[in-house]
Order: sequence, then structure tokens, then C-alpha cells
Amino acid sequence: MWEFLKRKFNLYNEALFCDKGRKYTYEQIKDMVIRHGENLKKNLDPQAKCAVLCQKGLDCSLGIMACWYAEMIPIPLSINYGYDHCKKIIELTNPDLLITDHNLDFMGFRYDIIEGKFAGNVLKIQSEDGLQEIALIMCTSGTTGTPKGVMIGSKELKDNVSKIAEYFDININDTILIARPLYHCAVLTGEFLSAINKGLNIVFFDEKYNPNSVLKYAIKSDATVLCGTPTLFNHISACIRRSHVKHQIKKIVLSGECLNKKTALDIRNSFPETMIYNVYGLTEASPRVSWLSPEKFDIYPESVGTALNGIEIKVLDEQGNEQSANIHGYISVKTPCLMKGYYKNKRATQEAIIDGWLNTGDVGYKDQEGNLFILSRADDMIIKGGMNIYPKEIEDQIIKINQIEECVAYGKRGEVGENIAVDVVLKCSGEKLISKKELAALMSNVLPSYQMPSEINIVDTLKRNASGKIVRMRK
Amino acid sequence: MEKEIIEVIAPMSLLDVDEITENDLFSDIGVDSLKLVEIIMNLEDRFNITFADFELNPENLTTVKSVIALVKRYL
Repeated sequence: MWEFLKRKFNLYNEALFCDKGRKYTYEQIKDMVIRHGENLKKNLDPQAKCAVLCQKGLDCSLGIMACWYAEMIPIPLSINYGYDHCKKIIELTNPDLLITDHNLDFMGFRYDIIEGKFAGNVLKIQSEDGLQEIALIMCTSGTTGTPKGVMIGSKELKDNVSKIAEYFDININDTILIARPLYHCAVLTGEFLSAINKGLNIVFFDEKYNPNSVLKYAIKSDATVLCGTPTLFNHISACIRRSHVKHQIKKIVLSGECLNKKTALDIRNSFPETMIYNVYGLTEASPRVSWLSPEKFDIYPESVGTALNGIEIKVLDEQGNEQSANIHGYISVKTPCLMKGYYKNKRATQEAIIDGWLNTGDVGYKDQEGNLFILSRADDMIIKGGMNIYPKEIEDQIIKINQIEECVAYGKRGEVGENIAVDVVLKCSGEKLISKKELAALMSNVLPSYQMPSEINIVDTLKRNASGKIVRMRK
Repeated sequence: MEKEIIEVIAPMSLLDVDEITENDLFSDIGVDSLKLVEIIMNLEDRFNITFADFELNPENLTTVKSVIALVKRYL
């Protein structure tokens, strides 16, 4: 990965990395990466795993790139989803080092990317076997409530960046505003690395979720490229409508959630002159799988288009036979950008990849022209604001609340994307029953904010099937 | 007027209108950052007002009371 970055930093040496208080050329960034990378090399072996948890996107990017310089494996984290979520990932992946830009005591051994100094027990760590070709471990939600570590190879990552470059019409005259954490593969590959590949100015936005601030900052930093979920752009469109503000955004990319016609129209009305791409992918595919060209957006915006070059998409029935056009089925993908597997989880890997085909877990269909439409998940996963959440993650936490006997969490389709609902059965203790409000307050103590339900139903019993298994409501 | 404002908040929360009080924290009633944005947009439509950008810092809008105070400033 470092050779790729070095080439681009040399080629586009005057392009910029910026955030609120800082501005560096690619040339300066290259020097900073080398400095930090040399520091890492002094204390760790190649293929050492490094968790990267920074408040600022620019620092996070430095940490990731320094790992690549030192031939180590970054594991990007994000505080947006709570420190408990980060701790779960650290428990799963057992990194050798934490790279951070603020004072964290998660791990004994830390590297401060601001000071360029180590803290804690400085040990020469032995790396694991079998990680030689791995560029990244990106964590994604797991059915059991424990995250899965997706191991992405260097070759596969660079290949996906090349494939994105074949359709994503960006160039050195563009400035991209990166408003989401590099923890997301779509951001790391589709925004950050794709921007470096073409020599864009890169501006990082580090505030908490605030679409109005994103819009204002995009305008202030002359951003011409912005990527995000339909939820984010729905909100940004509302901000544009209310303030009638003029912007210079020329290219936007929608991903992470299904896009409905109404939201697409609202977005188009606020971005009348903008090229709009609707894309699809998954972390396990590094991540990009398909894209809808801007020319087709106004015709069928709900589609995620056709496969990138060299990638195949099939829609299968339950027996694994390919469905005809316009017939719903399970989406399966064959891609040279396939992950190497889930970290220390052979079983999940074997379930996900069969004969080289990746089971995406999504349900959809292809129309007569081969355009892909995603309809829903085949499993229970909830997609809220582009964030993947398995119900068990929520249930495992709220069942700890004393007053709750049983619970089930599920997704419910909202205007844009999905919301979380939970049904709870309370313990009959003879005491005064707890109110929804009190329950919510207790839940907010055990759940990160992005997992808080927007609907709580207190029920007498949970729905079960004939064998006694809890049945989740269909969305 | 407080009741009208709470009527806008309630559908975005997990409570009914008569369960919400002014002192409620949004984090306790199921209103996250995404929902807060929706609430602000709906309040602007309902009351035909446009909040100044500087007012819309989520860190200053953590309670039902703070949003009621915000609307009152514009009416």
C-alpha cells in the first residue's frame, strides 16, 4: 500500500490534506507518514496489528498510512459508535498497539500520533502468521452481537480503488469533503484512497452528526465532491431548501442504505446540476460492487446499477439457481476484491464464501437491462443511518436490565432508511410496572446512542414459532 | 405552545405526547442526532420559522426544554 501512496504523493505533491486548523500538501503528508512509520518500525515487527482510534480524520489517516509504511496492519476504529464498541473490536482483534490522537487508556501500549511518541509498556511484539498479504482489518457487525474482522488484502484494496477510478469522474481540480469516519470501508476506499488516486484536495469534517454544519463546511472549503448515506443527503437537502444556500458541489455519491424515489427526488431538487452516483458494496468486497451512472440516476434512482469491471453479480433462489430478470432472490457476488476472510472466524468465512461467491445477505433483483435493485436484508440486520446493526447486539445489552424478562429488537422501515424497535416483556415482580420512559432511560445506560430504539413496545409475550424460537417482525 | 412543540417531538421519540415533559433528555426518550435533525426541520415547517445556523448546535439541544426555548425565541 505504501508504494501506491508514495507514487501518488509524488505525482500530486501539491494537492492538500486539510481539516479545521491544518493544511498540508501531499508532500508534507508523505514526510509525516514516513516519520511516524519509522517510529512504528522501531518498536513493532511487520504485520503487527495496530488499532487506530483518533478524534480527527486527518490523524486517523496518518495512523493508517504510517501502518502501511511500516508494513503493519491498521484496524480503524471510530468513537462515533461509542468506546464500548471500540473495546469489543479490540478484544476481538487483540492489536499490538493503539494509535491515537487523544488520551486513551484502552491499551497499555499506545502511540500518540500528535506527539509522535509511545506511551505505556514499549515491547518488541511478535506478529502473527498468515497476515502477510493483509492491508486492513475492517470491523463490521456480527450476527452474534460480536463484531467480525474483515481481512482485506493489499492487492484487493488497490484493485477496488482502480475499479472505482474507472467510473468515478473525479480529478485534480476537485476537492472532496470527507464527513464520515475512515472506520467505514466505503469511506476509506471509496472516498479517501480514491481521492488520493486522482490527486484531489481532501478536507476532513470532524464534528458530530450535523448536516447543516457539513453543508456549511463543504461550501466554505470549496468542496466539489461529497459522499454519504441517503439519510445524510436527505437532511442536507432539507438544509439547502430551508436556507436557499448556493453550493458548488458537483459530484455526490450515495451509499450504505436503500434509496427510495421520494428521497431521490428531494436530493435531485437540492442538487439540480450535480452528478449523482448511487453505489453498492460491502466491506467483505473491499467494498465496491456496483454503481449507477449519473445519467441513469433520474430514470431509476432506486437501482444501484451494474457491476464494476471484473465483478459478477447473480441473483439466486434458495437452491442457488440464478433467477430470471425481475424475480427477487439472494444477491451473490464474485469479485477479485474479495476479503481474505474474517479474522479468526473460519466458520463465518465458510458461510459467507462458497465456491468463490460471496453471499451478501441482501435480497434484490436485476431488471431486463441488468440493473441491480436492492430490496432488503435476508437476515435480521438493521441498517440505520448507514450503520449495520444486528438485533442481538441490542438484545444482549437490554436483557441485562433487571426489569426485563425477554426482549426482541428489529428494524422498521422509516421514511429514509430504518429505525430500531424493541418489544419487551417485563418481569412480573408484583411491584409497580416500569414505564416506557423509565425503560428508555435504563436502555440509554447500556446502549450506545446509535443503537437506541425509536420505538419500545411493552408486550405480554413475544411471538414464537412452533419450535419456541422468537420470531422477529418483518420490516 | 409547549404542547404544540411536544406534538412535533413525540413522533420522533419513543413516547406519546402526554408522556414527554420539558425536563426530558433527548437521549432518554429515543431521540438521537438523526431524529433531532428531523425535529428541527419539522418545527421550522410547523411554525413557519427558520432557525439561524448558530442555534443548531446539537450540544446545546439536548433536552425538550432547550428546543422549546429555541422555538420561543423565534416567535
